[in-house]
Amino acid sequence: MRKIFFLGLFLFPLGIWAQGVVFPTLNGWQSDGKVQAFNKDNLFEHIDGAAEFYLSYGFESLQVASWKNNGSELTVEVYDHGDPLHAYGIYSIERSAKVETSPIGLEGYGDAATFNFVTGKFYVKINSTQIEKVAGFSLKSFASEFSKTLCLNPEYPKVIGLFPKENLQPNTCQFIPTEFMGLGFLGSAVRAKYSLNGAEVTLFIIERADRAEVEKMVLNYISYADAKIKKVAEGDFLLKDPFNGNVSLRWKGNYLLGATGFSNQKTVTSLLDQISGKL
Amino acid sequence: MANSTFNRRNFLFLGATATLGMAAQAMPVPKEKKKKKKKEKKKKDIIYRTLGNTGIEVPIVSMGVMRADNPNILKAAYELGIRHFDTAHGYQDGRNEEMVGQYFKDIPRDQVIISTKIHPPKEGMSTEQFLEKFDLSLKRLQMSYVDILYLHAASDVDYALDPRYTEALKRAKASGKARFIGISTHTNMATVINAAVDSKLYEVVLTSYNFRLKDDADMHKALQRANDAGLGIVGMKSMAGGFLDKEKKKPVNCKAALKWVLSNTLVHTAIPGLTNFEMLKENWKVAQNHDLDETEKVDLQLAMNEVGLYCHGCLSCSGQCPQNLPIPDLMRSYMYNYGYGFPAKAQTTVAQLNLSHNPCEECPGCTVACPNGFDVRERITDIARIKMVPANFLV
Repeated sequence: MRKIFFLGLFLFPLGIWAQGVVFPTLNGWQSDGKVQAFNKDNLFEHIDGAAEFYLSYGFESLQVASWKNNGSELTVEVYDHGDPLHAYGIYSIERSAKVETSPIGLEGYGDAATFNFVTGKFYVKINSTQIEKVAGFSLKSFASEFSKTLCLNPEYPKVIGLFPKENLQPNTCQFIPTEFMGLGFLGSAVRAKYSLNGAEVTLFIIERADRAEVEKMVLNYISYADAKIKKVAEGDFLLKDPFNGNVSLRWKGNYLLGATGFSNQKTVTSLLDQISGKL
Repeated sequence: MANSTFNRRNFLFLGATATLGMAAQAMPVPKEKKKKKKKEKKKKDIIYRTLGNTGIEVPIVSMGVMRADNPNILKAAYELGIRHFDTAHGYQDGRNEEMVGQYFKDIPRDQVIISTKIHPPKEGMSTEQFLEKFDLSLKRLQMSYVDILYLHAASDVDYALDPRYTEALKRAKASGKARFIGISTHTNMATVINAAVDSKLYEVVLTSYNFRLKDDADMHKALQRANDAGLGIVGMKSMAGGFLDKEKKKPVNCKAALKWVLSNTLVHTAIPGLTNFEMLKENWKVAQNHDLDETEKVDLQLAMNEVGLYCHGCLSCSGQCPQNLPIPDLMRSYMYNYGYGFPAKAQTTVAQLNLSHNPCEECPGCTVACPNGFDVRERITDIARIKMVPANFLV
């Protein structure tokens, strides 16, 4: 790989993301030095048609830099989503379940011409054309070095670690920022898919600041599903959601856990037990 | 985990003392037909319109899939009766098309109208690259064709008529992979629509259209022209951003806003972005009745009054300022920045006026009267400062 100067590498302490994005100088590449900047109000100028979706994931700003090298082009987009959960969320929702991920930044994936990764509060998308013509240049290596200028030792949001690993389908853990399962009262949630006895089961975790918020959510759901539950207390519920089918819920403190798509509730209970044990 | 407070169901709730009358009075008298859906037990009438010369007949309420992350919403929408679903190559980096494909693979293909869009990057792409992207879209959708293939997000004539893209669209249609070809526009819509008509190529236009454009004569002329030329018109952004103020504390009455759009028969269907079941059910009611009730008229009238971000360009403020400030230009700049989110254009406009960064500081008060109730002095003070922002941050 050609020499790359990563000026921002020592500008921030371990475990903290960079306050500003510093794009590298790439030997052999030409850049006009301009960094395009976009905010919430003009993101549509860069990704017209998709801006609203990014905004729903807490988008705050975007910086874009590009380089040229004898017909080859490299463009780096750094999206700042405000916090690691929202950055992971937009990354996870755009990531195909079929890709092979690698620990670039927090996690990334790519092909010969593109590489996307998430690290700290940043979601980074790297695009190139005719990159194969640049001898010795590796997109993945570039991404790896650049990621270190944005955040050192990035960690998965804690809620991700609550999901059991067994039977978990790869690359299915996703953060939904609002209206989870199409239900406004549920708000945000993290979900993951499991293969259980031939069925695809979706497990979800909703975390709130206090117990009262979860209680309100449970009451709303019971009302929405028109369930005949007289006394609502922490514990397990089975609801028939008119749109999402059978939903197994478990309320524990500030958390609402749940599952959909199951044929055997016992297997779901086992998974919920595993999560509950970590709370 | 933060719980998002954004909720489109929050309607603008204001006092009921406002003047009525705005509604859709500028609109043509609706001429559509109501159909009882065949082979279904439901007797409720659904309003259908035809997408111009394509002959595609769809309920006036369709679905923008962009923000939906749950295939169960697609299922519910289809079961309710929605038949037109709109996605794009770039939505969720392709995952949105995959979700559409996953759900509809088990539905007879001729029962739904699927559209997608290809958005060439700023630096452009070749005809072949455009078609490669389209082939990838078809693969994700698990379909051999789409009903409408759009050139995505046109804002000027050059882009709309770029021969690389028009050639790609022609080839897509000739190959049978796209039944019809169209163009989508969020910005400078009237110009793009007129270009689409003049091109004699495009068959469908997907355009931003909402109550904030009530007095936009150019837009309405363009829509009429497109209808006369036989183009199908699909409306989007019916909620005009969802909020009336720059602080985003005053949500739009979404159902009323959708009704306003569909009360204009020049728009054949609309694709509100449906993300939850209650929104879906509320929007679907509009497919049976787009007449605004009195409360909705009040909400929209008040929304129009509240649309302080939007200068209607009436020019009544022209010449009123004792300092001879070009008030219409400054109000337009404010609208560019806060209304359209187009700060670079706002800055260019302000820079051309050659004003100080606080042109109102010499005046103790403001005597300029705006019929829309703009606080002219406050807005000038706000927007004039944009000169001081480095252009690099406004691109």
